[in-house]
Amino acid sequence: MSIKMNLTRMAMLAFMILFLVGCSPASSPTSQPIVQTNLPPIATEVTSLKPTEINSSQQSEQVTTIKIGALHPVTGDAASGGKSMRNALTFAIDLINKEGGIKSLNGAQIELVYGDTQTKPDVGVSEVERLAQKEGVLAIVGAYNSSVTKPATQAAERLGLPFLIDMAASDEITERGYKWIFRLCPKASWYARDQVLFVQYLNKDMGLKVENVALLHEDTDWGMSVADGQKKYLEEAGYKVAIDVTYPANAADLSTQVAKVKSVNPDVVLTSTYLNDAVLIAKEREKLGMSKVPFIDSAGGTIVSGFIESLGNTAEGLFSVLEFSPLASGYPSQVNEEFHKVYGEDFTGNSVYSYVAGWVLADALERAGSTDKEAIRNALASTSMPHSTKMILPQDVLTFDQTGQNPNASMYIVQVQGGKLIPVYPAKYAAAKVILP
Amino acid sequence: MDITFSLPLLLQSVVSGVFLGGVFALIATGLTLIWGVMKIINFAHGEFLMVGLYLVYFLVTKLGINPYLTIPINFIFLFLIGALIFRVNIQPVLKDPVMNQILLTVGLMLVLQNLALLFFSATPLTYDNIYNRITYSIGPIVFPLANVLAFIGSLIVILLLGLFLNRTDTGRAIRAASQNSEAATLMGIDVSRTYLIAFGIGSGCVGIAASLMITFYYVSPTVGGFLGLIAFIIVVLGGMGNIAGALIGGLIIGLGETVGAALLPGSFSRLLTFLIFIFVLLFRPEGILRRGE
Repeated sequence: MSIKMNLTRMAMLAFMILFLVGCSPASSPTSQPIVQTNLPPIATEVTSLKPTEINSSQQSEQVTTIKIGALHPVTGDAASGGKSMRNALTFAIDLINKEGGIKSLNGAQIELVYGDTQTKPDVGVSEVERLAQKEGVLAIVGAYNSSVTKPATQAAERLGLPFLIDMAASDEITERGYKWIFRLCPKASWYARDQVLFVQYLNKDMGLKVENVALLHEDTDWGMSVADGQKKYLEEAGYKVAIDVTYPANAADLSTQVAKVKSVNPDVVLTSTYLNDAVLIAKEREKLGMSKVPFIDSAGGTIVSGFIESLGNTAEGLFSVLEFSPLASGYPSQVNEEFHKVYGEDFTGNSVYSYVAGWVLADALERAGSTDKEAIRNALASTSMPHSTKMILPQDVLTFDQTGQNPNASMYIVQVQGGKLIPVYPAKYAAAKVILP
Repeated sequence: MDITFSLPLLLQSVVSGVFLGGVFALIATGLTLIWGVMKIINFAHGEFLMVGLYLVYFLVTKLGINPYLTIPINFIFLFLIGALIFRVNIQPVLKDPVMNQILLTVGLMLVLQNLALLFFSATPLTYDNIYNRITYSIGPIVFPLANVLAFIGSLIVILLLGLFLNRTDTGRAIRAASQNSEAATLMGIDVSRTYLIAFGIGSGCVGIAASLMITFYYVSPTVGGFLGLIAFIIVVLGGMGNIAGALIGGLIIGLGETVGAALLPGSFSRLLTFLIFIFVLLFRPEGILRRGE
């Protein structure tokens, strides 16, 4: 009997190990395929470049290809986000090359040299050095994670290499007085700024009475810093924070916290959530009959795929800040459609900046008409791109200020309408009107 | 970090806490029954709840069954799953060192969580339903129908379970086996069958809890983690193996969670629950209600 028992137990163990092993790639689907996809884009790039190289070398002996570094995390924690950013940048560069490359440099083609930060700060730095010194790139686009981008831009500054940040939101990155660093995406604190701008829009243009604003957010570093920003911008706009309710991010029940919010009869509620707590808040909001009060999320749980599907009608009417929406009217949705045809995915709130980064660099190279880094840097600094198929961000003109920041960077406010996240603000780029119950 | 205090809010949190506590108690009842009878700590108990929630979710969304009518289906299904797992996994280690049993149930927990991740992905699912929209109010205090029904349902199930254990032959056999399995065998009780039934009922309890919770809660592969932890605290608090203790413990922890949230900001809201727990352990290490002999 003991042999039988041992056998059963061993079978159990084997079963368990099999499942654990079998499951681990499934739970981190990004780690393995990336290694393979590392190579093909580079390979196709090289082969597609060969004929043009010959062509242009007949015309002039100057510049045939311009190397640009694409530095994103394609392995490690942030791999899935990094991969779509690499795709979007590659998509833009392919378009630029197809349109005839950099005309002021005799149609020189841009060659992307890929780097991988592995989501590690030290690797980010060594990749910048490798790209600059071994590969001889003229500029770098990157690098997604603020923790990686901070030291990586420091290295670029030291090397005198133009570094165009597509996404990395930490405020201080462009507040260090650097000369070679430019950033397309909004600062982290601007999420709160755009929420408050939207509150003002609801108040002044939509006729919503706004006296009391309530804050409801999880209490880790992220939720707390967003709330600090919200308080600052609300105060500047002259609105009163009636209550600031915090909760543990992994709370099993939020009925009391939402009841606390309700107790001050807020006109607007600003939230910062992860996914499960966002679900609980939506449920409690419905239960406590607060469906008439606008809840505006900070690009937290509300915009995670699956949130609306899982909540159905309960999610209707919720708002959130969002960097990009494939449903935005005009150029963004057109370009996104083309991108989707090639890569089978939509632009994300991160990768849309990578796409624009490609065009911003091409524009700077065109105006610089030179492969001198200083000239490219100066051209970048005087960038002025209007809203177009190249510059699909929700702003009229893309420029850089003294610090290298894109000062007009703004985000959409989306509302759940008919089970979709519909951009409703800024009004100029909205796909539909705000619905106030 | 406003620390606010208002009477209506406090009353609301007490009401919410009692409702929440009822469901907590039902989850803990299953766990305490299994411990009381066969001295196995089932770390996968929360994951059984997760399995139950997924089942209810698909019954109500795909087949359109009323959530409260899924109670018997879900009880039977979870009973069978519990019985199967008992036969295949738990029974062979009943006489083994505690460490082996813990490893086994923790392993079960990981397997169930990862299977759910594999099949359902990490996205939480919720059931869009009418019960979550109906509320009754007395003055400023809101009584959500979904929570009221869950509370009443939990109480009835716990009461029925108590009656079953005290008034039926099978129930008496379970109690006998839990007090002295060898003596029970000598009296002609099939102990391994009795264990099987107890494990099945313990698992079935979370099946019922799942049916009662689906209207106001969500399902995700990791939903069992926190609820499982809460169930352990309740079992220890109330007295391990004691069903009345689980009920009292459930209400105390439910109140601790919501009143804590009403009085304290953010993660401090947890403080009350765990302070209660530590104090009870200090002064009554065997739990609030000593296990009935």
